[in-house]
Amino acid sequence: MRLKYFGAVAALTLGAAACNSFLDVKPISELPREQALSGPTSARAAVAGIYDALQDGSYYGGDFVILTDVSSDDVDWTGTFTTFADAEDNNLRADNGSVRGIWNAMYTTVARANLVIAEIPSISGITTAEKNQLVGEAYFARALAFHDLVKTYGGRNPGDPGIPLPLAPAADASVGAQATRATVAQSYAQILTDLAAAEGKLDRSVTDPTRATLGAARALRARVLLFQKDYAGAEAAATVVEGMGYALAPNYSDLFSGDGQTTTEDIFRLVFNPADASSQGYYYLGRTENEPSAALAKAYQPSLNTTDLNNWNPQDLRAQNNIVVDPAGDYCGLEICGTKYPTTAGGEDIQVIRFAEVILTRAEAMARQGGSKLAGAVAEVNRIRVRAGLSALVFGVSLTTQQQVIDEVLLQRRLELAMEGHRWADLVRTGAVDNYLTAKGAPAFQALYPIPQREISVAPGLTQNPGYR
Amino acid sequence: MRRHLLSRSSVVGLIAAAFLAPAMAAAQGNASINGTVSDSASGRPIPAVQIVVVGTTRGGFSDEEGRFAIRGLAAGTLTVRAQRIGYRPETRSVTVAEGETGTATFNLSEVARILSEVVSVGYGTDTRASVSNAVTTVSGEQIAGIPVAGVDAALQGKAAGVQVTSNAGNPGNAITVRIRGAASLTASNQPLFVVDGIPLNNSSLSQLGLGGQDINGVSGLNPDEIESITVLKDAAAAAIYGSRGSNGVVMVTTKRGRNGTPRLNLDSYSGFQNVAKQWDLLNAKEYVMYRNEANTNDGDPRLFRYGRPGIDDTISTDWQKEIFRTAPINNTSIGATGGTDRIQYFVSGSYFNQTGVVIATGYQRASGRVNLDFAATRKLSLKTSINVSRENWARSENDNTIEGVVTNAIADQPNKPVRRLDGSYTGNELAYPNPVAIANLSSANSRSIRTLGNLEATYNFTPSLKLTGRAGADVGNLRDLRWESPNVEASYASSVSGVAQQGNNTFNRYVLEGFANYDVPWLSQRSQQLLLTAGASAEQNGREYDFLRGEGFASEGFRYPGSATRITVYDGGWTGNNLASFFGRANYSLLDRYLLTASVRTDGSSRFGVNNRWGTFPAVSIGWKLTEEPWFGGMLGQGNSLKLRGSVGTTGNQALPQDFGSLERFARKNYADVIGIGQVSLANPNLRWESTREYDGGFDLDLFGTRLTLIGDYYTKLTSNLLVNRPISATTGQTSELSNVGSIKNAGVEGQITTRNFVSDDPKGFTWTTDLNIAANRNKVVSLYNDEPFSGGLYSANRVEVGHPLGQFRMYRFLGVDPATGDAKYSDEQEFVGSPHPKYQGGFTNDMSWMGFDVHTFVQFNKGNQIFNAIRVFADDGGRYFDNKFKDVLRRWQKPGDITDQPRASRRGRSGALEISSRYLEDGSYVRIGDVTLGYTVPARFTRMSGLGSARLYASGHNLRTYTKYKGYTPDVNSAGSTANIGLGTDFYAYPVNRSFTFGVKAGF
Repeated sequence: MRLKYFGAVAALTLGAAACNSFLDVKPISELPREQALSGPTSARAAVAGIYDALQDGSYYGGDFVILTDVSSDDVDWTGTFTTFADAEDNNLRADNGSVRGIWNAMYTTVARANLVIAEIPSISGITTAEKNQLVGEAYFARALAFHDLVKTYGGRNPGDPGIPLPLAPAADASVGAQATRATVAQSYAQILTDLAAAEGKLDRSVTDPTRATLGAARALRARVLLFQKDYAGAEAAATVVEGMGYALAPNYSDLFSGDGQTTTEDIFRLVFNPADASSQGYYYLGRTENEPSAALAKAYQPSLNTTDLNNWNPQDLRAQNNIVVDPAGDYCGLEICGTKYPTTAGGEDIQVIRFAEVILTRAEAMARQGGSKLAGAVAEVNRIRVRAGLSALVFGVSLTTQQQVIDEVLLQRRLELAMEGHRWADLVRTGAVDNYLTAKGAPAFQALYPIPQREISVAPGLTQNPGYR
Repeated sequence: MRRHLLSRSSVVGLIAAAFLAPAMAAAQGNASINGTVSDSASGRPIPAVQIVVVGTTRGGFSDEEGRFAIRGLAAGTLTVRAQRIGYRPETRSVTVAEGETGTATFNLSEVARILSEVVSVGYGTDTRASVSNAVTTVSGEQIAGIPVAGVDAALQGKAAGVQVTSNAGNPGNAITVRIRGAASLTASNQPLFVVDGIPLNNSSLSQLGLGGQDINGVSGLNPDEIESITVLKDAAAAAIYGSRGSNGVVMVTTKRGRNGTPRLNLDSYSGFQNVAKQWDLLNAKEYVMYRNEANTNDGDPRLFRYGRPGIDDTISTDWQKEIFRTAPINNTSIGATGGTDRIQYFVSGSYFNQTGVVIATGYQRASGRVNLDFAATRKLSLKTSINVSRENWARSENDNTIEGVVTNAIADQPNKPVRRLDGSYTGNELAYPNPVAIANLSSANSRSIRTLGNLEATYNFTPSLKLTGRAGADVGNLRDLRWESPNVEASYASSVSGVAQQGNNTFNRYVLEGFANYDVPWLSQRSQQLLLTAGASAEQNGREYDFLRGEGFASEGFRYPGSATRITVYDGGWTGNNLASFFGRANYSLLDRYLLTASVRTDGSSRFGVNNRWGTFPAVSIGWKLTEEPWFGGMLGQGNSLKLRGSVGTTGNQALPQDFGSLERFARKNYADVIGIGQVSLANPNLRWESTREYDGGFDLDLFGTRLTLIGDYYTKLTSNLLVNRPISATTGQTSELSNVGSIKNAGVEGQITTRNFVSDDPKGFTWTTDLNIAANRNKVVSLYNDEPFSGGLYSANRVEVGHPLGQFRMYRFLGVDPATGDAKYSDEQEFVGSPHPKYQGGFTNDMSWMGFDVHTFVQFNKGNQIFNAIRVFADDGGRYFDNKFKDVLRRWQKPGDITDQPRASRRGRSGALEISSRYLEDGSYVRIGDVTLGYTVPARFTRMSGLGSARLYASGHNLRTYTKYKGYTPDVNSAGSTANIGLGTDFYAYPVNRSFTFGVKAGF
């Protein structure tokens, strides 16, 4: 009996060994790394994967733009999702799912860029020139994501906690548990380092605005320096972009067409199509849960009576493109309809950086430097005004003080870039957010988005922004 | 590759041996055995006793006069066994010569029905009296005729320790079944269903996201075809299924043929169903008044849109009434059984048609079964068990959506009509798309065609050794087709001219297994018995799927994405896993008094990391029949018995939602039309089995001459190496990683009491049987990754934290409404405020019969759980959202000094009413009158006259009344569906469970 038993055990052991190959089932619909990153095509695909991350529904494809605009004074949320309703009320909590989604999507972008930066140099079959271009695109995307992170989640002073700065692919999950926040200053230093790397690698002759280009990296540098309040630097960077041949599109509406045509103004825009769609149009015109605020409408047309709305008749071409006011609610179901994104299917492209922003950056940088630069600042802002069908202003006549010039630049920035996800960061950057929150009866700490609670629970070294529990 | 083939051939060989064995078989004999079976007490003949000639393929059943005849036997000394539920089995030794007929007479003595039940133990059967681990049996009769689609739904309240939750009432919905509590965070908590030896593919099949409403494989089985169900509850019983035993095993045995003249059985019922209870919502006047008050309270001078009193509140629509209906249900099964002493057949066909109580929903199932038993030679028998089913679901979106039918019937404002004066559906003027329009214009259909079956060959080498080979398959296709009409105003579909979705899911499971059963002969002479079972099994699982979603249609008449202007979602791929297993079991008994069962299974699964692919799952159980001890004597009286049981075992769980979770993987991540790729998971080569160690102690007690039977169990089980998609820092590029972390403990008691209150020797006399089962389970999370708690479920209300039950509700505690301000007050921190797990639950069944009448009542009860009524987030929100409100808001705070539990109305949500808090929890305890059936068996003299063998007529009510404090449709709810592990006990616009009234007939020809 005992012998038989041993025999059975031996048979089982042998059989088990034979079964190991039966148990080696390989995935087909998804692939391991050695097959996924195996040559030139897959290397290029890995870079396209970074743009895919930027397109995410929580990032430029949706929530990052929508939620921050809803937090601001430009857009009201009329819908039912509590994560958005809390942004509307400036009553965010650390467990807000959309705030977490935005954070996750931004770091997914960073991780895909990190993989490209780490792996592509060793992939054979690609020319050095192309490798440089591909890696340069990754550096640009990382800088963009880091800046979007720090302006949303980071503190308002250079010494405040900024964001975690992962610079290499994570070998395993334990790496993430060690994450800590670099200071705001360190975060900005890394962004500028990445931009320098991108500028060093990106080929000037490549100008496709649907991907990262040298122009995009330089324009992002101007934006970043403006946020750092390095106005001379921002002006210089913007001037460099000016010299690259970009020009304002003749018609504002050309920038937001349903078919995504390229204009001379495009510096970096993300391509969407119905199968890889953005959700802006859907929220403004489909679900009609995003409603441009009466305050924004009034900013376009100061004569507007916001309790009546029947005298809507703006001269501003941007207002005509961006807003339809219909007190009866017949146009889209709301009184004020956001029409910047024309299709509910979300196939239109999303502008991330366009030349008008660079002009406004230059104008603001000059205005803030003051003195002899004020006239130049007005000249810059006039380029934006004239394209919008407004009259040119004359420094010393219609605008006399530095503050008036700054206010005009900020107003045009608001009107020009409305509903493109800039407003909230501008309010925070300029400090205007404090009055805005006070007027709404919301606490001042809401100026910073909370670090997602889930992130803190898995990486205990991360500190929460003040005020959030 | 070569080794690959070898491994399979070893299993194939085993089966081939079984099939080829007839060549070695001796020639057929022509000896016969006749005999009779009668009751030892009354002397009356007993029909339907199974007669088996041990060690051969021959056997039969006794007829109405208790007579049987078995032919074609080889001459010699034969052992004949007679067995029937309710009687103690007996054996006779008969010596017959070639061409002669021997005689065997049996006088069977009655035992408690429950102790004589045949239980399936996996790769063999046993009787209740001789098992030493925790199993429960439910007979086919107990679940037949209940007007529900699936076996799982019919099991509700029938077996102690088996918790069945309907989740929602949509016809054919996947049901949640938990045996002895939930133990997994990510892997499935559903038990393994084994149908005639083949593990059923019970994963979620539909690719349509319709809230918590899933489809799984259990509904394809026709409950009328089931002979019995054995639930293997403790680890010792389930360990023979090793890595899939952690959640318990439900062994389903289907009916088989009986020799004799063909018998035709007709089983048919039809009736109607309705919704027993509706949500109590505001009417138009109340709604308009309340919303305007919400504006006023916030200092907003304007009325809310569409909110002019006297103008906008003149029409009041009861949206719930508009979508609910009284709906028919019917079922017809026809079965034929018969055969010769060599071939027996059971053939059955059925059609079940349930129209949903919500308009435009329903479920149909047509199924057929062929079970054949063929004694090929004296030593070789073959059998098939084949089921083919076609199911059709007309579904509607509900739960977490703004375009659901039930959802919007609760949510839409009451002050708007269903249709405008011109007859068109309203929509743009509503807060949410018109639910009647959605139901009537849009559709969501799923259809499955499925074959589940096996071929089995058993070769009896000697009377004590038999070898069984089995090849089984569970293959099928589920097709989803959803149409979202462009004419549903204010819906997404209307903005893009229609949306169509089409998905196909083709799944297959192939199982090859072989095993030997050996009854060690030399021990049986020494008052001992040793049964050995050993075998191997190989299983291959695959799932191939495709999915398309298209937008933009020229006409309302289109349905398929092929007619779309643009394809917006496309998917297609394959996933699969293989499982290889070796198993063995020894059942030893000494003096029929001391019982020992030991089993072990070794499983290897492709799902796990290369470092941890194989797992071994041992178990041992002991039983001691005290009443068989000479010293025990007649302490309990004659014919009574007491058995003590104890067991320990280890089982596993590998039912991951993901086949390749241990690998770093990259998937398509295209940038519009540019080819793109991106990482979707990090690698975890150490990924391994979840394992459960369970201890069980219990007793089976039989008293007062089989009038009272008590079965009790206490168990404790610890599940460790939990498979968890644990959250990881997003800075890695991934937000979760599948890993083994943490442990969960379940402990509980179960009891089953069966009493025969009245028995009668006269078939027309009064009989009354009562069965009560009750179970209490306590669930506790013991450890987690770094012991860090996390939240899941809707609004992250369900907490997973060490020391607390899985998914316990953690929210702000509602402290009442401040009489001065009308604002809701809450605790400063979130607290544990309630549990989704019941403290205890069970079922209470009474069966009475007299003079051909029979009455069956079944009451189900459930006590101590909370339900997170998430509908309140919108329907009791202080007037923040457009949704209609529960009537509760009528007692809201309105002026300083008001004492109430309802915060003031506030359009901007400033009264604190919006906080996810214990204010939204409700008591989920209930007592439900599950079934009441009144039947009448037509006297034989009438049935004979009309050519019928037997006939019974019955009227039945199902879910007649539920006594509960819960205000919703049903407390038996979970909007997160059957696959939810953490998001438990939540009602978020679930489809109501119906109540039904049916009339049926059961006839034999």
